[in-house]
Amino acid sequence: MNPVWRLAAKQIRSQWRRSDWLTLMLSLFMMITLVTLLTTTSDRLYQSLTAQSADILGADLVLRSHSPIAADKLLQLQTLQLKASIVTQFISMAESEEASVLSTIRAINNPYPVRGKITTEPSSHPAIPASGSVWVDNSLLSRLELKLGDTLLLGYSEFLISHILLDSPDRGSGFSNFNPQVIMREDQLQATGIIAPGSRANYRLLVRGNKQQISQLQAQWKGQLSKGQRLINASDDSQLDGSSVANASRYLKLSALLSLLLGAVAILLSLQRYSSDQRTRSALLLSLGMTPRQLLYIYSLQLFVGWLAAALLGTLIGLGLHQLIANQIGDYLPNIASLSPLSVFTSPLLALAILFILGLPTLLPLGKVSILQMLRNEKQLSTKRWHYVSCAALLLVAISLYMGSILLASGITLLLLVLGSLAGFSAQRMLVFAVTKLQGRIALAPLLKLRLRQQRHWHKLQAGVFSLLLAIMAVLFFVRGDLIEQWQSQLPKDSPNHFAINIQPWEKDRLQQWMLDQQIKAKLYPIVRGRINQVNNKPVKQVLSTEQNHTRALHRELNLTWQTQLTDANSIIAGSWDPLIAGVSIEQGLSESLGLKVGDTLGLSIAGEQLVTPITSIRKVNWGSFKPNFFLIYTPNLLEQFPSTYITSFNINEQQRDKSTLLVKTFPTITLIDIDKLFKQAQDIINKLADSASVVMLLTLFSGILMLFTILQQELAQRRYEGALLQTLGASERQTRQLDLLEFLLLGATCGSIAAIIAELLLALMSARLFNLPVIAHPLLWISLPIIATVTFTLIGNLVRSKLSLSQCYGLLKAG
Amino acid sequence: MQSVPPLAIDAQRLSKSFPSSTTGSLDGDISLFSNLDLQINKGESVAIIGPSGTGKSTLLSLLACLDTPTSGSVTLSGVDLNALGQEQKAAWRAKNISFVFQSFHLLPELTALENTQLPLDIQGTKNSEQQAQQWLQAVGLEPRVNHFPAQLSGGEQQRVAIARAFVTQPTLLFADEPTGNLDTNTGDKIIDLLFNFSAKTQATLVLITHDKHLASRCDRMFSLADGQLTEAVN
Repeated sequence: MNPVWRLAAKQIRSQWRRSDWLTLMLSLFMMITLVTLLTTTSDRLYQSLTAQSADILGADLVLRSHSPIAADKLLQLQTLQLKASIVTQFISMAESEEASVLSTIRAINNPYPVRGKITTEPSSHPAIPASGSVWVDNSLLSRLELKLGDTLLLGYSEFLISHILLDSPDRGSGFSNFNPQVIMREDQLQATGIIAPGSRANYRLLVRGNKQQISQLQAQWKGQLSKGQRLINASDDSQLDGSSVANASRYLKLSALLSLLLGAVAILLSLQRYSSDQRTRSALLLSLGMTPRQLLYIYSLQLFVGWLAAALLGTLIGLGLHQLIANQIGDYLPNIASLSPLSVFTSPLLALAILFILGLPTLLPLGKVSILQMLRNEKQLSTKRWHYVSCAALLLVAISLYMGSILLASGITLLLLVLGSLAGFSAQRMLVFAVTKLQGRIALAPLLKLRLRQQRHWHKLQAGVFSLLLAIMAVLFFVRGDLIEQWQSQLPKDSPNHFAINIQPWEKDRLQQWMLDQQIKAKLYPIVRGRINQVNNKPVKQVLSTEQNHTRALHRELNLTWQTQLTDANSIIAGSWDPLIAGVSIEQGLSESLGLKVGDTLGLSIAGEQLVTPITSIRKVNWGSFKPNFFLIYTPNLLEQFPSTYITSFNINEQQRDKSTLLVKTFPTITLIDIDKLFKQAQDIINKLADSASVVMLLTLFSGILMLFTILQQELAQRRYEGALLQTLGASERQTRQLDLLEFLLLGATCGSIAAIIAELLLALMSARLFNLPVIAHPLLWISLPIIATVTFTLIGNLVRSKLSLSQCYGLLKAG
Repeated sequence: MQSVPPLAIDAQRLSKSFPSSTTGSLDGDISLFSNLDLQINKGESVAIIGPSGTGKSTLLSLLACLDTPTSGSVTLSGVDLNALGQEQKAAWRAKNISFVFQSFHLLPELTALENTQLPLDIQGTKNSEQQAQQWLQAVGLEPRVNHFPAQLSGGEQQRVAIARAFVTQPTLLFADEPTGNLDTNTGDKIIDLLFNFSAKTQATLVLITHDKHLASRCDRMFSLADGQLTEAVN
């Protein structure tokens, strides 16, 4: 065996129990475990979410159009060998001999769907309905009192009901997807006579492809869209945005970034301690004829082996923990994606990069250690300032690669660096101030003053890192709390779990009475449909920019309503709501997309007529309230002249289950949407996500404590030396202990207070920018952080310092 | 005509000063010594004595080419090491120079035998184990070859260090207070070993010490004080 290898092997074996090496390994292991857990979980959540989104859409990319889709598009896809299909969807009456129900009908071609699958009863079914037959929702059968094998009338054609639709993707958007659904063959559509020129129908081109093909296609088609056409990408962030799962995924990713930063700092500090202790050894090896290159080789090998051990163990435990979480939430995520190898290897590879990025600049100076070190006991560290700068820069690159966004990673890293430096500087000033105030009041004050002067550089670093660490932990804790609160507040106990739509004006009073009789609380909202076509009396195309003209709300009919009093899901953020002053209140997001403000006028085309109204207020809407919400709410007396229907939402509890069936029987033309099942699933997944967030929180907390140990262990030797010196000069062991404790106490209190300020700032920033949560103050933080910091610092400080007898003191001083 | 063999160490007009920024002094550079000349013949043993802080260790580091002088030159066996590249310098040093330190400096994870054979292994010498074994036998540690440093006494550790220093058969041996951490009795035995081996291998020995009695056993003795190096009469 090569002697250098042999020495490396012996060195690795003998050094693995050194406390500085162990701290390094533990930091590395914690970082790998945490980042593996967070990366895999976040990645899998996101993948599942995308897959789920594709399954709901029935495709990876959908081209939606109000007019028939040109056949050449389909041909183009066929030449590219992409799976694609065209669907025509429309609303029509489905009839039996006795009754008729408003239904949403899909006329499809083979293949269908291109993603996800249709579940029917009986379970085996051909690719598309056989000629002359249709597949229908169960609710249609019960409303029409039909069964499998009966005949259904659509337009002029009669169809055999061959299958019951249990589940199907591509149900369409808007309210139409809540109507009972019917699937038929497209080649039999013409015979029904339902679709004639001018008929309202939706056309969809469904495409299946890999990520690259889809984005190419999307980019190509984007410029060719005609009026009334829209492209929907299943993996588009906007499809997933705002959902609790997307927020959870973001929370995990953010936790991963913070774990990376924590780990990187812990690794840097323990590496420095390690390399400083290796100086004499390096000098000896150099004096024995080893070249700097061989020396660096030995240390790199040792780092690599250390990494390998930490990576194996960390990845395994990280994956184990991930599996636990995946098992918990897997039931609630249909199509839980398989674990991507990239997400498994990201963490260990990133740790390797960080270890060498931080390790090489720290270990390189070992090759230049002077053999003089052996003659004189030189302790000076030769790590230069540029090393830290290059470390920070390289670290940033690594983190950017991981986050996939240089901007986000550099923003966060820069912010933390600036905050850390500021915190360190302020803490040191505050400590000096506190000790000045203590002069003359306590006996140890002069010694404490000296200690602060000796340790000032170290205090800056210690306080900077610790304040940041505490702030980050607090942020993770409170963001988790805020998120869970937001998730749960989305679903209060008596949230409506049913929607009723298509309520005709003549049924309104009878329905209200029926609800009253059944003791169901429900408020009915009128709906009038209209399309925005003017802003400040000019056509939207002229007034708005190209980007604004792409706003979705401009390309479809909006549901409008009128109210006397706004519901509690609406809060006015500009202007005012006065039902006596004619005007319209616009939703905040829409007003921002269109650049509208209070005082502008909005023109809508409603049932062929033009209605121009001034905007009197802008509202923030809680879209998750499970109540009917509207982009535009008019004051009374403006919309009443137009044809309207009504909508309502209400809660039916377990004991009232039969009332939904009764409602549909009593009012056959009403469309009833049961969201109770969805609601329960959402509640469950939120609880599971909250549990997962707690696991993440606990693990991050543990790595935080580990880092505190690392910080306090730095310069421990010097502290012991000083303590020994003081004791031999006449101080008692009790006094040196008190001095240490006083120092830790002050440091802890200072760090805690600074951490509270940083945490509150970060929380506000993240709530507003990242999670779309309201910015609130956290009084608990201001009380708890200083207390926690003081107690932790004092406790851990006490743990790492050891009692010295006088004879030990002499020994220590003699050894130099 | 018979050619004169080069000196083992030839130091000419050696000066060493430190910039004031490293000492905190405002009065320009601090000079430790200037214009020192020292010639040491092959196989000779030389002691450098003097009070603390006079620069004995610094002079040793200059003589061993571990440090560069502010001015002046050092040649070892006729070779100007400062003119060599880093790698060549390290290789030359590994082959020709050995050190014995006050604090032994053995690697804790290696046995006495492994510590002794380490420099040979680094140089890639064959039969390193055999040679190391012979030297450990010579220093009287044969029964303890497989012991780790922690299992050896101070004197035994220094004997391992001496075996390690001689195993490469150096032409130059620098010893910095080799008995500083040992009692007089053990120290004397160690010094006996050093002198015997130096004589046997014809190595040039440069010894830094406080101990005049020890220094008097060398062929020549120099005293470094107030920046002046003067040869003391033995």
